[in-house]
Amino acid sequence: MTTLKSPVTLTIDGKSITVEKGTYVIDAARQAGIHIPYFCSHVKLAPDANCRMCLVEVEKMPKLQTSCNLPVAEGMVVRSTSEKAEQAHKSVMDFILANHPLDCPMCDQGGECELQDRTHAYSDNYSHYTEAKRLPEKRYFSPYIEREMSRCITCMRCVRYCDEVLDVKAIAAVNRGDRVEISTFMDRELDCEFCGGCVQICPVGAFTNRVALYDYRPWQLKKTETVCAYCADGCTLTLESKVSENQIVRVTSDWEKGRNLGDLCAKGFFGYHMINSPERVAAPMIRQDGRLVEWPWIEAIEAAAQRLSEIKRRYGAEAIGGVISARCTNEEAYLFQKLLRLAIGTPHVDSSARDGHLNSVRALTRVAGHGRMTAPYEAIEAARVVMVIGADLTETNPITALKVKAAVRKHGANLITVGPYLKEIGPISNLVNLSQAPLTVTPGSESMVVRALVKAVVEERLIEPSVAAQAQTYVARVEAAVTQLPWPVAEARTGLSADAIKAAARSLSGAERAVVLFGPELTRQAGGYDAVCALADLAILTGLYSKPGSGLNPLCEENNEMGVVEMGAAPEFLPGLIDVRNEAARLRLREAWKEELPSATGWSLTQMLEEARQGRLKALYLVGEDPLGSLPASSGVRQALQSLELLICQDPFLTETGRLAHLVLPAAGFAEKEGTFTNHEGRVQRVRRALEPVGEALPDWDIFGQLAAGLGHPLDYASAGEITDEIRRVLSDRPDGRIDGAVMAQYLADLTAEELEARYRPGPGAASERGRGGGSMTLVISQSLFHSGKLSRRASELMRIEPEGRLQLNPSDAERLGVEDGDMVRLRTMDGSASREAVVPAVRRAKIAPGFCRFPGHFPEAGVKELVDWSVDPVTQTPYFRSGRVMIEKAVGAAATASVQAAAREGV
Amino acid sequence: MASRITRLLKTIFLVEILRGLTLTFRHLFVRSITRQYPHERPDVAKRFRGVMSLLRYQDGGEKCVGCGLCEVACPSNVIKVVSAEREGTPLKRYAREYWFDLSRCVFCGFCVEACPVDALAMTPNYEYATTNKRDLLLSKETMLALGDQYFPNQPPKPAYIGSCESEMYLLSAKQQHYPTKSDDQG
Ligand code: SF4
Ligand code: SF4
Ligand code: SF4
Ligand code: SF4
Ligand code: SF4
Ligand code: FES
Repeated sequence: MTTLKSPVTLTIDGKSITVEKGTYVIDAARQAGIHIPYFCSHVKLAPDANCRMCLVEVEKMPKLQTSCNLPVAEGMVVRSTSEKAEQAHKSVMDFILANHPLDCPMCDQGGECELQDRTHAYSDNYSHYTEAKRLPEKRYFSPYIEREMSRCITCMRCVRYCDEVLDVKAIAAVNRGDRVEISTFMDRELDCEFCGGCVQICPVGAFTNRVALYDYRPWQLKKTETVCAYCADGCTLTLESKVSENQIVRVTSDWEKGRNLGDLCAKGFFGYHMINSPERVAAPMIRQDGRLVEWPWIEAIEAAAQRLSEIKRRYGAEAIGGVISARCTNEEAYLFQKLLRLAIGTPHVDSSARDGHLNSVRALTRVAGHGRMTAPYEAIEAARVVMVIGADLTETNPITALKVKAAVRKHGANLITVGPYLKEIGPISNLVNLSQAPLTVTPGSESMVVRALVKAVVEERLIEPSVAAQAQTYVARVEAAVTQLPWPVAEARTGLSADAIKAAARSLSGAERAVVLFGPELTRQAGGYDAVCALADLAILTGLYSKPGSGLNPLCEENNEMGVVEMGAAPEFLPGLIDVRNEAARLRLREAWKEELPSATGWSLTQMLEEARQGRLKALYLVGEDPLGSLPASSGVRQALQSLELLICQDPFLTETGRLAHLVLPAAGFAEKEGTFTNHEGRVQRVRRALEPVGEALPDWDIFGQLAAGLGHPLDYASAGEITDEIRRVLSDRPDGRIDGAVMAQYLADLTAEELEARYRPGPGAASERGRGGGSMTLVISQSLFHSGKLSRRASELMRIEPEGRLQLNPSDAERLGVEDGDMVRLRTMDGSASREAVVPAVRRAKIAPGFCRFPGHFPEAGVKELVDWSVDPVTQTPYFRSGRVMIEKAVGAAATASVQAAAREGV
Repeated sequence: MASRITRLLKTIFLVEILRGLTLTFRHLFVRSITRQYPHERPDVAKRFRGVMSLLRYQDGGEKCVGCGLCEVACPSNVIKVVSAEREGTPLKRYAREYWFDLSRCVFCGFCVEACPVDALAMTPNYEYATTNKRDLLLSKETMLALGDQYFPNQPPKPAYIGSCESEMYLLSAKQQHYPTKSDDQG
């Protein structure tokens, strides 16, 4: 047994048990294997003691006590099975059932209902009540969540969860006595984050999943515990499927498991329809006379191998490149880079992590030896100060946001949000509301805020003493570099006062445990790499890297961005984040693989497209990637893809790029394969197969193996597990998430004064002034809570929740433009004489700062992506295409009709 | 000694056989009990377990609420229930499809016992031999027709006060407009 800090010994039902002080009796009993019945108590929630089911007899206490909120005391003697206690359980059951229909046959909770089970165990077979049961009137609630109030036992778990954990407060109890009902404000249709938490936590069938309504009985479902394939929060979820139909019926999550501990977001809970989407590609396809026609697997693989060999023979292996999606497993990324580097012999291998995440990895690997979070979720919750910069965390990483909320609401942490965001009470929770002193900055100036924070730390002498002592040269150089950034410039660009920045710097460095999280609005905006480097300076100087419980946390978008890069699916990294130019490490890898590998640094995704345009790249192998659908036309992506002699698209769906391909290979989805994902904390988690692949689809690793065999260079693995084993063997000496002291010392010594000076020299202007578009508003392409990349577009329920992209703007801007929610607006940019425009519906959000507007990037067809500036990072080759300056006006005429249609689509 | 002689005499004069033949002879004058099936049909017992049927309430509404309990109670995997929400009545559960594979049924009656609304009943019908075994897969419609045929006089639906099955509830639910489930749209 682990040692307890302050043990307390008590007796429950004659059993003596020692637990930590502060434990509640009900939990102590559970530890001793004694079951005390309960309804309102729950591991995720603070005790509320409203249902009275957990009554126990305690010696020396005159009345029965609710064990769910009774802390243990030394020498306490508790009886849960005494006659008095048992009588109490029976009476409480009688009370609860007085108004409960026991509709079990038609109730979706039947078979997994806490009330049903307790009724069997604790109730007599008759009721003392002869009065008619209450029957609340049926009222429409939501298309996603079904509410049946006749079954509600008013335990308030749902209300407490939505408030305590989610901080959404979408539902509350209205009316009194036996009329009490759980409802929304003014009984409107439910509009919330649709996390499904209330459905999961309701002990009875009062809140059920309307999407899966009557589709199952719990005992019919096969449960597969796996990891979510949408975002990098890495939630553990249970896919519940009907084997006979090879269909996912619903998704749940265990309260005691995974990094999310049962919490999910709408994508996890309602987003499973993409797996069984009717749009899945079922068989390989080959282009014949300009059309894609279905083809047998063997011949498709043969054709791919033969054409690749042909190109290799004619132009050399270097004319072939490959890009893998960060939604693939570690095993697949590892095998993919092996396929390209060994079987084909080209160094050009990249992944979709290029799109921003590589900025973090490159910068942080230089500093600390790896690019993972240095403060895991537990540390975020326990931190005294949390800073979130460059991310609307609820929308980008909902579960990480829950950890921040817990830090503030449960442990009283000080939250500092940095971004163009304001407080807002709305259907979606807002971290800014929890921040005492949020830094609302000029859009696009996040990186300037970071630099100003570094300046404040240096000038205010807030440097962590141990760092100041050990890295004097470095500190001196930073001190010299920040002098180039005058406060007036910083203030003008960020829109913040120097005092506010200094105050934030002071709380950050003064905190015992501080965590900084940074996201896409830093890493995916021009200058992202430099911004992360500056952030690393901030982390070093404020001791985030040295104080236990502190850390610097990069946030990822796609579920396995962290993993694919660590597996070497990047031109600059070999597996284990080894620099390709590192001769010694490459030799070691050569030994492990018993094969020569290319020594050159390959091309990144952006370079590959450029080289294709130039005619130097002849063949491109895309795995789960759709550059045509995601990149703006100004990047010249179409031209690049059309110049290729061979384009292979391996994807579960036929994407826009896939339509151009010479060869389309159907890949299995995440629920149809085995492997591992690495979340942004750096946790490697098992992905398990729940379904048989749709049609003839195969897991990506299997296809790589077959292709390698076709190329005459077998990479034979019988299962994904064999690849995992090899990865473990090859990477046994690689970092495990700890900060590499040697790397950091080297970094601090190597960092030149020139580089630091360049880093802190204020550039030609903040992003907002730099933009080419020439408009007055800053547009940012953002992420939405209900979508993830374009994958979620295949999930029918998510498309029902958020069917179209809407331009979010501040109500004051909307008023100026005369725009109401749902009205169409025209966005326009002027690039020289060329003008581009897009017409989209608008929506007012008090959260968005004036002068700022954002549009979800999941709807590229709206044409907004064509309005943003395109540039490529000089160091990391990261493509930047997520912000620009636009002019906005209300659209009239033809566009107004579109607005009517949009309103009709909404169906309200 | 005497008994041994008697036995010997009995054996010699075939007494036992004669006695047996007497009985046989006597039966020539008793009324025959062999039924000339199919010209003559037996009366089956009241609780005879024949082909399964589904019942309706007096007003013609299906009793079955599609709970799937019969499916899980069945020891030989005979039943498949596809439950759904009745169009236009939120939360009203019913069996959109009900399949009963008669060829596997062992007539144990477990499903009948399991049914919480007494929707299942075993008809006295045992004459279901067929030349096409596919005919033995009974659909919901077939089973309801069997129910109508064999158990025509069913009671009205109980009040189910306080339940989602009560008339009051179903009426108030009917006033509500719910969008159909998206998987039903396609
Ligand atoms: S909530 Fe539980 S007890 Fe109530 S009807 Fe549903 S399954 Fe039965
Ligand atoms: S689904 Fe909505 S109401 Fe339910 S807990 Fe989540 S946010 Fe709250
Ligand atoms: S809806 Fe469920 S969780 Fe909410 S109060 Fe009622 S019984 Fe409890
Ligand atoms: S999308 Fe992200 S936050 Fe939502 S359930 Fe999946 S992993 Fe968790
Ligand atoms: S017949 Fe009875 S047990 Fe079977 S599904 Fe219908 S109601 Fe349930
Ligand atoms: S569980 Fe203790 S009062 Fe509800």
